[in-house]
Amino acid sequence: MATNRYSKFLWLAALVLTISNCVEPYQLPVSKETVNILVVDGLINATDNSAKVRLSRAISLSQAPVYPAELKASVSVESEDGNKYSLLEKPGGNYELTGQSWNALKKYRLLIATQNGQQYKSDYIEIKQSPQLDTVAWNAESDGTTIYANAHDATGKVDYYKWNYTETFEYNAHFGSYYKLVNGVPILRAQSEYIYKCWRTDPSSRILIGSSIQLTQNVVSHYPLTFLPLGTEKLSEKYSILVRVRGISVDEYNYWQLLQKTTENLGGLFDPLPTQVTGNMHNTTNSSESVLGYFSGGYIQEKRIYISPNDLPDYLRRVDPSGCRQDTIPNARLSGLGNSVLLIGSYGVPVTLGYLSSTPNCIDCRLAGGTTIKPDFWP
Amino acid sequence: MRKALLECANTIMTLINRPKGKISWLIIACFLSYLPLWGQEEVKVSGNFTSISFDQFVKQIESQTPYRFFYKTAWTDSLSVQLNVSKERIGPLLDQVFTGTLLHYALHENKIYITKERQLITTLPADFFNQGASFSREAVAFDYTDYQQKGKEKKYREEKLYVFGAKSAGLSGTATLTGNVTDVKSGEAIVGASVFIENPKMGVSTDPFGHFSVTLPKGRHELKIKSIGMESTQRQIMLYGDGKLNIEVEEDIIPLKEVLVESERDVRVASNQMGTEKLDIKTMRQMPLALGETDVMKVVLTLPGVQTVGEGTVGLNVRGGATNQNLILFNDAVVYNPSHLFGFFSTFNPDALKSVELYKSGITADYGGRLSSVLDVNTREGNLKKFSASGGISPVTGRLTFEGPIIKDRTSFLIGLRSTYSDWILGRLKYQNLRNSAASFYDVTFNISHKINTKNSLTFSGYLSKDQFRLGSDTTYSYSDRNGSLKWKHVFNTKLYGTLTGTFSQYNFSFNSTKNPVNAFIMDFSIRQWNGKADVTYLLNSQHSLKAGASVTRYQLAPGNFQPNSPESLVKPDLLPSEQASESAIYLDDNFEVNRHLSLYAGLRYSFYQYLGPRDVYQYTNGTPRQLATIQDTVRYGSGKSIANYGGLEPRFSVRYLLSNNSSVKFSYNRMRQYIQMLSNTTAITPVDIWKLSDNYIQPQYGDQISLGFYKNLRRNTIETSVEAYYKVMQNTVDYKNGAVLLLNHHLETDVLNARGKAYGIEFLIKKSTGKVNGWLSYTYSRSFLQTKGEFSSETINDGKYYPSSYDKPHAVNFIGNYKFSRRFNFSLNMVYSTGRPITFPIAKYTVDGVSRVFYSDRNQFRIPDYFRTDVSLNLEGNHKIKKLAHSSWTFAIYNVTGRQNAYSVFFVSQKEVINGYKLSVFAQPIPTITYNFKF
Repeated sequence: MATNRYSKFLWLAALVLTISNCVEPYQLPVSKETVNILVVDGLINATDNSAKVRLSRAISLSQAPVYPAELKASVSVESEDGNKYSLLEKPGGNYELTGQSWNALKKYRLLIATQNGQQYKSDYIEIKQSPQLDTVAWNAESDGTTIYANAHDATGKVDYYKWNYTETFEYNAHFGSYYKLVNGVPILRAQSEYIYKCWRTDPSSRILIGSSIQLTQNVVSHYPLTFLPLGTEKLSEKYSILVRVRGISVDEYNYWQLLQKTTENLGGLFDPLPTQVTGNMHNTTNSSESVLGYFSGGYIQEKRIYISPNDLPDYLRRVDPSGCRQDTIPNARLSGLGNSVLLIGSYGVPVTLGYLSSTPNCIDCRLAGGTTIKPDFWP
Repeated sequence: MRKALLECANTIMTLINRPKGKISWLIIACFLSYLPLWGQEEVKVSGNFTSISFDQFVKQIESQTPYRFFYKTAWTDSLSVQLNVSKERIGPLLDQVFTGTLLHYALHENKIYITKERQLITTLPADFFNQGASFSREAVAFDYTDYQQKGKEKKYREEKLYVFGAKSAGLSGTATLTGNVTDVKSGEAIVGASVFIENPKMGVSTDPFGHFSVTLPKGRHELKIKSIGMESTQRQIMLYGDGKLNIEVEEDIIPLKEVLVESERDVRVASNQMGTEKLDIKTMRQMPLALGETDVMKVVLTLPGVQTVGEGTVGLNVRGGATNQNLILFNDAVVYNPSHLFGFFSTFNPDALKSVELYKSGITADYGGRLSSVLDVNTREGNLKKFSASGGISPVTGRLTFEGPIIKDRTSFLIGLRSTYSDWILGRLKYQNLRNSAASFYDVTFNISHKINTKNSLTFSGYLSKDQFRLGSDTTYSYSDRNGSLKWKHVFNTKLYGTLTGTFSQYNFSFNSTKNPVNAFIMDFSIRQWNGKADVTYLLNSQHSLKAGASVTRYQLAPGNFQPNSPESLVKPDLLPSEQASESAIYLDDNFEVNRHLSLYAGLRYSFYQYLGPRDVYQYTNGTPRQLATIQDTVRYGSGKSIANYGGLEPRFSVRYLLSNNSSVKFSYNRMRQYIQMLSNTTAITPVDIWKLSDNYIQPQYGDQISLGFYKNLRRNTIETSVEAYYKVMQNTVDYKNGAVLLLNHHLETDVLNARGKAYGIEFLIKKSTGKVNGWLSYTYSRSFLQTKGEFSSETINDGKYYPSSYDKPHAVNFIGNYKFSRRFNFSLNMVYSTGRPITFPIAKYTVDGVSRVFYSDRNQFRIPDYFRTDVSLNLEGNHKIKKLAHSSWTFAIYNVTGRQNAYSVFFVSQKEVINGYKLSVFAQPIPTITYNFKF
């Protein structure tokens, strides 16, 4: 609470007072050490009766961000009273068990045996109750829209909360394309081949945790989840956000908070010293080996809302200009062009003189990260 | 008659040629006086006057002759008469007596008028009635400007022979000379001035009253007096017996002159002290600095052995010690946070300061309570003679200091104010976020001193500093340091004097948020301490002095109070119980100059600490790591009940051996204990860092340091060189578990660890003090390590191995240079280099919860890039006339001329799928500033 605002201020103070505070990219000296640390990302979901664990390996900073999956491990969940539930391996280092109802009164731990003979064990975890996710709403501010959530826990048992969300938005390319070029010949597109309207889905990228421990009631009020700046394409057609909340233990809260502190806001004059962050997994074969990630469990509450531009106040109904321009291609030149050239429509009435075109990113909405397949839930 | 007329005319002519002063009555006196003198029988005087005072001399003359003397005893009290005459006329006799003095006499009707500096004319000019008649006489060299007059007086005082005691033939044994050294202008006692002779090398420093008592071999000596910020002077003395000599010294009125080195040069080799740096405000003023303010802390940072973790921070790391291990005293009262605005400024108003002393080693037994160093900051006393004001305007701050007498020559006041207009600047910015921000600070320094009589004086000083800032967002922070001290100095006799001091210090910070009414809160922290101490100094003789004292401190700490800050707020109030403790100490010091070469210092301090109730103390299960889950029991201690006791001896020792007149070796050892620590797991000091008293879990820190130094002055003491090496170990320094929570923590012992520290280093220094080019160059090699090895892995850092502390910067080179083009115009250049500080770097990346994260190495295994900076400044002084309305000066400075983007830190941020590294620089461009200073 205090520290991250603090660093913001510092930047600001330095900027104002010296007009010379400077942040610039920094390239790490390449370390030759090989890194081979197991990363465990596991969750018992008592709401949908599943357990999902993803195993991967950490890599050195200089490597491309492709994290090798840990394959052919034996993964199981063990309850306090000794019952074992094995997880089945799925592609990509994923291990899953579905259709297993979990007992909220019992504690569980994760057991892993990897191919290279190492054994791993988590601390025992509780199946935490979820708080009531009351509302997800948005607030128009002068420079954009803040999406926030309110939650509370009437039982008084949930003091720490972890949020995440998936946002989906519908958007259009700048120009529609009614023709495609096949071997130099313009052909009308089928409706299924339209690349004008897209939907893009993104997960949350920040750690979103909260606590009501300093409040007299177990309430999280106006918890800001994300901010949509003025002019964003996300609000051009329709926007939707699915928000999930889960009650977490104090240990897990501390873990995420530390991870957040050490990887999201660091480097200011008064930010804490970065530290090694390890979770609740341990190597039982070699206790000095670090294991990353966290194994947790609980119920999950979720809620989805939609925002249309029409819901917004006038000043927020604005999309930044794309800078797209049309160009003309006379008929004569079409034959020399490849299939990758995208055509908008024809020009010349009554005789077609040629076709209009633009750069691909102005015509193909998929290039902005979306898909033309409408999600099932989309109204 | 003719001669008298001639002289009269001559003198009047001279006076007319230089039309200054009231001369008309002189002319009348001239006319009136020649007649009776004419034809009068001359009276002759005989006698043997040996070492008698002028008063006695006058009595003898008056008994022999009809002459009567008229004079001011103040002019003649240091004059003694050594004459053997028979039948001498009074004129030539007086000529002999007054030789070498500024005194003149005038004879009129058996009355002898003694005047100073100017002769009273009792006759008319020779050609008064005979215009045109030619005569010749050597012109009398009169100096009419004050400056020349002063120079002449000074020269006179320096060349005149002061004789003490009755003349005797056998000059064996010693005699004691006592007296006071005062500022001729303000009447302020000069403290710590060196009063010494060169051959044999003997001397003393003036005590806190400006008083000195020096025992010297009988005979003739040149007594030298040197002090920081004052012109050096000397007195010719002839010691037959004990005597008293008051010495007035002048302020060095040419502020561009590098006085620091000059005044200290004899001291550095010869004094018992080592590892001590004394700075005066004038030296500090010359240094080019960021943001146009003379800054004590920044100047201190240029000294060898002093480091900081980064620009824009005030915390000092002295010889591998942590930032909270420095005892910062402002007129004897402890200062907890010496920084304004995140350390961009220090809280000491430069106009009110007199001197700053930093003790890195060889700390004497009268200081205690912190491990690494003592920074003793003293303010000036107000001018005892006249009112004056000074101040300055720089781009960010303005300051003003008033001072003057309340009762002339007895009571004076000084008040210094400083504030910033950064709020005003912020309000004018284009961006809403910045416009909504606020950052302001001010400080007030206040001093009243009163001389009750020659034996007693009282000084009250007060200090208040306050900072407040709010971000574009919603949280407002404020902090404030305030303290006061009352000091009574009493001289029992010339050998024994004492001081009684009472001080009070308070530091508090607070931050609050009101943006979201449901979460609106306010959080407060405060620490208060009361201290009383008594010190007595006893001078056995000039070779041997003793000092003893006792001190009692009471601490009261409110570690945190978290409260709702709006009616709708659901914030749960959280009040951490207050902490209290007492710390007492007694000490005894012995300074003994065994012989010309060997000098010893030994001190012993015993400190005793009690952590006091009321308080509930958690008990943890034995054999488990201290954490919330292992709390077994809670023990309640009643009010005033002792919860934990600590104490121990703190021996201090140093020895100096003079190898020759200009070289010496010194060795020192000291042990220090510290019962209060600042908890901070950020790299720099922040205003929201809390302090914690030692309790039954967090044990007091203690440390031992040995240091060895070699000092040599070259080229007739104009170049000083020194090498000092040290090794120190520290026990129970504070370290933190990974991710420790320090604010509003009811059980800090679960997050704080006890560490061991070790540090060693060697410091080289070359200083040139005089001449057109002066300055210093220093190189320091130093290391600083910590080791945290607990019983459990959660209480162990880096596998229990020694690791470099955050302020371990092995190589540091400082160059401070000053070139004087003329007395009014000088140029300064600073160059600073140091190894980059250690940092924990990421060594791996991984993905969890769909986002890439970094994994850090063991603590402090890497370093940020090296630091290098060059600053320049030009000082332009107004003219040097002593009498003018205002003295002013301009300083043009550029900080970081090369614009090198020195890394403050390197950090990594996960942004979507990518991990980006960034380097943060605080002053990444050259920063020019203009400052206007004035004084009137």
